Amino acid sequence: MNEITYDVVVIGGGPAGMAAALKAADAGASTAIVERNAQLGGILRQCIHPGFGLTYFKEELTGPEYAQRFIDRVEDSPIKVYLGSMVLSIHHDDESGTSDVVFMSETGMVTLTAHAVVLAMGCRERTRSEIKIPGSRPAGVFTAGLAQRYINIENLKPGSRFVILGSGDIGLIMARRLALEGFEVEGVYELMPYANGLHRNVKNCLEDFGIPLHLSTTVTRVIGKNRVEAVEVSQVDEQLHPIEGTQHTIPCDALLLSVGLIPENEVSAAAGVKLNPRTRGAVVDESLETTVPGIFSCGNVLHVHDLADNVTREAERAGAAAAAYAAGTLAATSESVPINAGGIASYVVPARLTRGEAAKLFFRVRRPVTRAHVRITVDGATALEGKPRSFIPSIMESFPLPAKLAAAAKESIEISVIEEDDDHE
Amino acid sequence: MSNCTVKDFYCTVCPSECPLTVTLDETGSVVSVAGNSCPRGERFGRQEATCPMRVLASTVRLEGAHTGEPLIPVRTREAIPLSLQAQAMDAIRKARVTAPVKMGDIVLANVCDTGVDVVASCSAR
Repeated sequence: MNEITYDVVVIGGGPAGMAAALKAADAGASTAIVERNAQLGGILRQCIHPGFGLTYFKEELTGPEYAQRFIDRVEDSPIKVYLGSMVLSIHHDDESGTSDVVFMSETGMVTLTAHAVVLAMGCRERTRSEIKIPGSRPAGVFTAGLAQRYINIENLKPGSRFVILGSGDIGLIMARRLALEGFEVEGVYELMPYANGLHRNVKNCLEDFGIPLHLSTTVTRVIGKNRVEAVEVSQVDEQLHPIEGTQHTIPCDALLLSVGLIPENEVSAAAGVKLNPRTRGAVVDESLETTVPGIFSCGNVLHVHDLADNVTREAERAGAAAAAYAAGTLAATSESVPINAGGIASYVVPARLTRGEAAKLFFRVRRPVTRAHVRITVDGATALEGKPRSFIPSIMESFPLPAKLAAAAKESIEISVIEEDDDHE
Repeated sequence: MSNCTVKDFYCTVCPSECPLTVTLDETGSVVSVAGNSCPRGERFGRQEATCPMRVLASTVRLEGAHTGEPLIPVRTREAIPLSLQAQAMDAIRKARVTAPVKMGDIVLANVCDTGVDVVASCSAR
């Protein structure tokens, strides 16, 4: 078994991993990326559509272009890249303060000793079994991202007539991709009474192609022996239960699922990293450090983002913090102060302060609201309120926690989104 | 005012996604754009209401890549009229490229006489 030491080891070579590694290397840390695929770029390689880079590069790029810019930078840097390498475990040693990252590659098992680790493994798609669609189990049921891989990378045709369940961005983007390739898209069905993807995708992916979006409707049965022959859809009530008598059968040979993403944290949890049950990502502090010293988390493995640009920015902070930790220049931790989400805010990242420093608080709302405001409460007293405006769940929001409040907090901080009546002044 | 048409849609220039309202007169000329919070939004609103433009992305058959990958992602370098997308897809489907390819290399010049080139979205060795 080979053993090599780095200041910073980054797990994952997608947008988060590359940005974290580049920042760490910029800060002078000896840095390695461990990537299980044969290439860098992560999921961006199959996201061939435009819409990336609008905030980070101030121009509209496709996913592969956005990735290539970082791949070129990594190749010009001293960063060591291990491709085709699957991390199996991370073990943090309290005595030495370092972590061992064990991975499997074609040449065998390798252990890297890291002064700091950045978790950047991204997320995976929820599958049919997680949403429990009744019916038979024929071929032809795919997650939207898998169908995207078949079409955009492997040159395979997953079906001819598609039904898409879920109006998340990947589902919408696949509806357009299928339509462009000349396949039939019968419609997109969404359980909730509102679209889950960005407005730009509803507009450019469905409206441009005349693909209908059916809200408050879900797939209640998969029909077919060897191959999908049809699906049954039903309208749902306010409790999201199918309404008896509304079902009808739609002939199709493929069902695509765009029903959510889950951070891929099995390795993190096994390393002792505490997870937030709401986001299924790590509990991190204002430096993006997890509950295990010297292990940082960023990107979609921390919480699911809607824009790669935001992933890059977050990962750069994690990379810089990891390099500082490795160099011994990151501020020492003090008493941990929890940050909770309240009102219609469903979660907040970071979930705690350990250094009493200013932070940007990222959160999402549970449901769309036309008029609400953010309230920051410190030790039970209202400290700051934002201007009223509308919020939707598909957009990740942020609100600054100023240094003064962060330093003053003793017991707890809460960020809540408070809904207001439309008529209320 | 009775002959005016009003179009409501979201701006897609940046992630703010401002809801726009564009008013057109009886000849189809833009009278006003409302709801935008920047000049780029105003420009987008005018364009979208009269001749919507889109960047088109697809894939092209790749030969000789040492990774063995059969496809390379491509895009129109600039937006082209939405009405020409299907025609442009036909042209892109027939194109072939051989590795090595660099990001930005022209895969198909002047697609559908738009004056816009289709270029590689990434590099392949």
